[in-house]
Amino acid sequence: MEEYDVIVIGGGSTGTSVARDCAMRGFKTILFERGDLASGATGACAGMISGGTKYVLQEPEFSAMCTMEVINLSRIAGHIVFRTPIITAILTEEELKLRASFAEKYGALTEKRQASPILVLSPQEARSLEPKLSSKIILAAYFDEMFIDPFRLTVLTALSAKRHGAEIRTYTEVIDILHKDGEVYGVKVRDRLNGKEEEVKGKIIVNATGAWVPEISRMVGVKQTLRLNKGTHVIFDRRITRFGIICQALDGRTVYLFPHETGSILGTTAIDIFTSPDEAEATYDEVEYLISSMEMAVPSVRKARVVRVMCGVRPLIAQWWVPEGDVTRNFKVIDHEERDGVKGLVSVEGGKLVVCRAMAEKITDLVCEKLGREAPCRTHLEPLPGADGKISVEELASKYRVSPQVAGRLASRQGTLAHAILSEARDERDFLSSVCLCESVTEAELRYVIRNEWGVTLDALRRRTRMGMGPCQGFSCGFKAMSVLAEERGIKVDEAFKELENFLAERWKGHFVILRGAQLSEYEMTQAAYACVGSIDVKIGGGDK
Amino acid sequence: MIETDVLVIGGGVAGLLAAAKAADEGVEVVIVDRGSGASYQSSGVIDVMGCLPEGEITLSPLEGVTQTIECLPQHPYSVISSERSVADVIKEATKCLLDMASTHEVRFDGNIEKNVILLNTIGSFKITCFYQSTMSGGTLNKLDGASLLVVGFNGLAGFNPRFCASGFKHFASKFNVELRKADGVKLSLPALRDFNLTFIELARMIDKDEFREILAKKLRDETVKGNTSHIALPTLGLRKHYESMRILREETEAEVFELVSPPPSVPAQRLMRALEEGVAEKGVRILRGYKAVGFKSEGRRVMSVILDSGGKHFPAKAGAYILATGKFIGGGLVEEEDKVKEAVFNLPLYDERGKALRGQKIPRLLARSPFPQGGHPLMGCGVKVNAQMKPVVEGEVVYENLFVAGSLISGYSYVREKSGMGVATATGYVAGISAAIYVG
Ligand SMILES: Cc1cc2nc3c(=O)[nH]c(=O)nc-3n(C[C@H](O)[C@H](O)[C@H](O)COP(=O)(O)OP(=O)(O)OC[C@H]3O[C@@H](n4cnc5c(N)ncnc54)[C@H](O)[C@@H]3O)c2cc1C
Ligand SMILES: Cc1cc2nc3c(=O)[nH]c(=O)nc-3n(C[C@H](O)[C@H](O)[C@H](O)COP(=O)(O)OP(=O)(O)OC[C@H]3O[C@@H](n4cnc5c(N)ncnc54)[C@H](O)[C@@H]3O)c2cc1C
Repeated sequence: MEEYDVIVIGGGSTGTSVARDCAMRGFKTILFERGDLASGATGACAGMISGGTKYVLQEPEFSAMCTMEVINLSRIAGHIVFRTPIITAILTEEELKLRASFAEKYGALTEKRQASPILVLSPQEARSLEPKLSSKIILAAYFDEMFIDPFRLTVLTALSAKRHGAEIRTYTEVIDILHKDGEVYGVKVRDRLNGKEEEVKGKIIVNATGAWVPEISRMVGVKQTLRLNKGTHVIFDRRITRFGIICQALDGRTVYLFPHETGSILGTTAIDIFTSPDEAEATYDEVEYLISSMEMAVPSVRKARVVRVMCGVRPLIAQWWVPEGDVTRNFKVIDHEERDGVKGLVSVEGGKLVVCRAMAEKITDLVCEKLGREAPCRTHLEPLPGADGKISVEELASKYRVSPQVAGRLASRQGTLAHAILSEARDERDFLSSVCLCESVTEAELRYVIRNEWGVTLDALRRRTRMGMGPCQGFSCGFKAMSVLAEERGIKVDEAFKELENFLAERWKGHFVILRGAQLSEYEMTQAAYACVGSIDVKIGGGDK
Repeated sequence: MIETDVLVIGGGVAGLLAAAKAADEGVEVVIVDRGSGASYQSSGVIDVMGCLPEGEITLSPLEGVTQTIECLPQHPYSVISSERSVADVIKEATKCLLDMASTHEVRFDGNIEKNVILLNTIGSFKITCFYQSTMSGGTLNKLDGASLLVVGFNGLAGFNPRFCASGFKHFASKFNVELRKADGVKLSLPALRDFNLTFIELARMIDKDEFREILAKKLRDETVKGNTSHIALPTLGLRKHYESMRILREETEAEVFELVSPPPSVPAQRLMRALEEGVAEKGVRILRGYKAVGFKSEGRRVMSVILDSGGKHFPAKAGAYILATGKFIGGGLVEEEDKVKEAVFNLPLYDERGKALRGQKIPRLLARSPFPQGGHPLMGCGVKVNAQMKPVVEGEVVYENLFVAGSLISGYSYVREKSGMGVATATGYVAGISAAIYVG
């Protein structure tokens, strides 16, 4: 049996970054993710990658690291990084005092950080920039933040790892850690699609499973505690505001409403959880809390169309007696040989999406030390696939005779790889048909991600292409994508329909908590199209299907 | 200002049937509709009852109705059968609908005694009772031993003939029907757009003589090559579907038929157009772009309904009013503060089992899985009616000159039962008669 240098557990932003760094430094690396890439906290996060103004004062060093990482991410993944202008709306005198003293201190630091300074706006100025703001605001501040597409970042990082020789195994769950005499030597995994189990040997195991870190550690008898904290987002069908809006929440925390792809994202809550992260669910109360809070600054958010809700669990370092917002966002790399006497096991606690590359660098440094190899980190220098040049949307559109809309959306996801995808459709013009109309996803793009980006389930196709994320939530694209997936992967008919059911069930998770306004009509359409016309719920004979 | 004997609010299948029946009884009828609803999104075939209460398929619609009524005494099929046999009412009502459709070039096959299995463009099947005769060649019972060719088109979006072919073989075998062969092919026809072609656009092309000729030749070649006995097409045209079917059958000497499809469905467009022409012929006026936004009442009588057209409001007065505004797609039910609300008269709402909704929030009416065996309670919610289709609250009639028809009525979930058009037709029919009697 072949032996790996490094086994990485977890395919979120952290795990894929570790796999990439290890592979780039010449280690024979394999990564196991039990679901799809970015199916954990990474896929549920807002993708904001600035230092976060707050941490500038609280944790200056960490904040500096974030700033550095924004520069690095812009270098290696420019096409998925974007800037969003933001207005902080101040509603009360108390808040004004708080924010003013903050702005002063922050302002003093921005010069050093070369970040854009905060600009104070009168209510009139703010409202002329953003007419959706409430007339009740007493002052506003303008600044901007950088964002990244977390799904694409994770997939591109995994792709880069693969190009450097790493193996990436999705839908493969680590069910046990092989260990003997205080030393780990491999993992036992189960393929979740076909149920097969196997053992894989490796010298170092990196536990990068975010909120699930303690569950993996428990497999070798190590107790590890994190502060697991749930956060929920509400997704709207369109851009409610042109600017990102930040305001105080009903309980004095801060909430935000950001333009997000073709829609808007409202977040977030922070609730400590004490059950398995698998059980975390967005609730009605969280949705109401978010809407009631943002409504103060942007009244129209109440009437806006909620497309879905989603939640994720933050794997915070276990600091207690402080509110969630005051817990450090820094990370800790744990050498379990040192801490618990378990040789070969490394884990990571805390962190954020923005510092995933830096987290990986630190972990890989430790791996180098343990395996006695000297190799410099280059992950901040080499561009990720698709980020190796500029791409002109007009040129793309005219060269392949597709609409600027399709070309633009494709380029924003795939960067320079857009050419390869569209050129494959040169002889098969048919593949340029849109499978998902809400998000302009062509059949060509779907086929490409099935072949090249571990697109093994409909859910995986959704994460990579945004298929099914628009207002119709999979009603009009689900069955079309199913047939493409079945054809590409040679799946049997009953499995294909099972896959379609799973996909619709996953979408439904974001709906049964809250279903409002025009979304009800979308709901009836999906119900009727799949049940009345597609018979997805019908039992034939003795309950065969 | 509109004045008429009967004002029908909503021009879906239920409203059209109600209007047709009332007009047949000799009263003056006007339909107002704000746009379109579920009827336009259907697949253009008439379900009566496809599944038993436990979710199992039934090949006998009437047996399905009987069992369902036993389980759900508040079911509209049960309510309409208080004076006459439900089978008779359904038969008369569907006959009225099918007659109207057939005089306007949309002919149906099937009968109330038997459900059939049709194939769809997703690659699975649909159970129904009455189906357009362009689909007749493809009912599953006729496909035993068939050598089927599923034909798609390069450029046509959302239809994968190869996948459908394997799907049909798979599902047919579950019904103990063996397709000898099922293949899928995509034809390249120069006249078609090379991508993002819609079903409706294709249907319009097939309506054209020159295109149909080219298609016929291509199909003949394919039939000979594959020794094909049956050909399934995603559509046979929007207006000249019979001519197309005849010519393609002659050319290929194979049974050519049309598949059912999720929205947008060509057969549904055809059906709705035919029914609209049918009611217009009976002297009914259909006013599109008019939305009922309020009403005036005196005691238990509705005095007028307020219509909105392009922001202007004006009243419509009638002796009787028929509310056929549908569910969520139609717009008869809307959400307000997370609760369901009847949009025009704010009528009290009831659930599938006949219990009053007492301000439950919508999430409480939803199950955790998207297609649970018992369906979502939300889909069974609506207005409660008596045998004349008058809305009732705790057994009392709310307004004596108001009648309700179609999917706005509570007590059934068409999604789970596969009974949508059947209930819309039957309740529309009864509401039409009742309203006419009331004003006459
Ligand atoms: C609501 C919310 C908003 C956020 N917003 C931001 C933001 O704007 N900016 C920012 O920088 N950060 C943000 N974060 C934080 C950020 O999302 C996380 O810190 C980061 O994504 C964690 O990545 P990860 O890879 O460590 O964990 P995860 O993404 O959770 O990945 C862990 C993976 O391990 C897998 N796994 C678990 N058990 C096993 C097993 N037995 N075998 C194999 N695989 C397993 C899981 O399936 C999962 O995919 C936010 C977090 C939340 C919850
Ligand atoms: C995707 C899908 C596929 C289906 N397939 C089938 C099938 O194959 N067979 C089958 O039997 N059933 C099917 N059904 C179910 C069937 O379509 C419905 O049950 C049936 O059409 C309901 O008819 P209706 O007239 O009650 O409502 P609708 O057709 O929704 O009509 C309501 C009408 O009222 C109008 N309206 C609403 N409010 C107002 C107002 N305030 N003022 C004026 N006008 C108003 C709307 O514009 C609309 O035209 C399907 C449904 C869907 C969604």
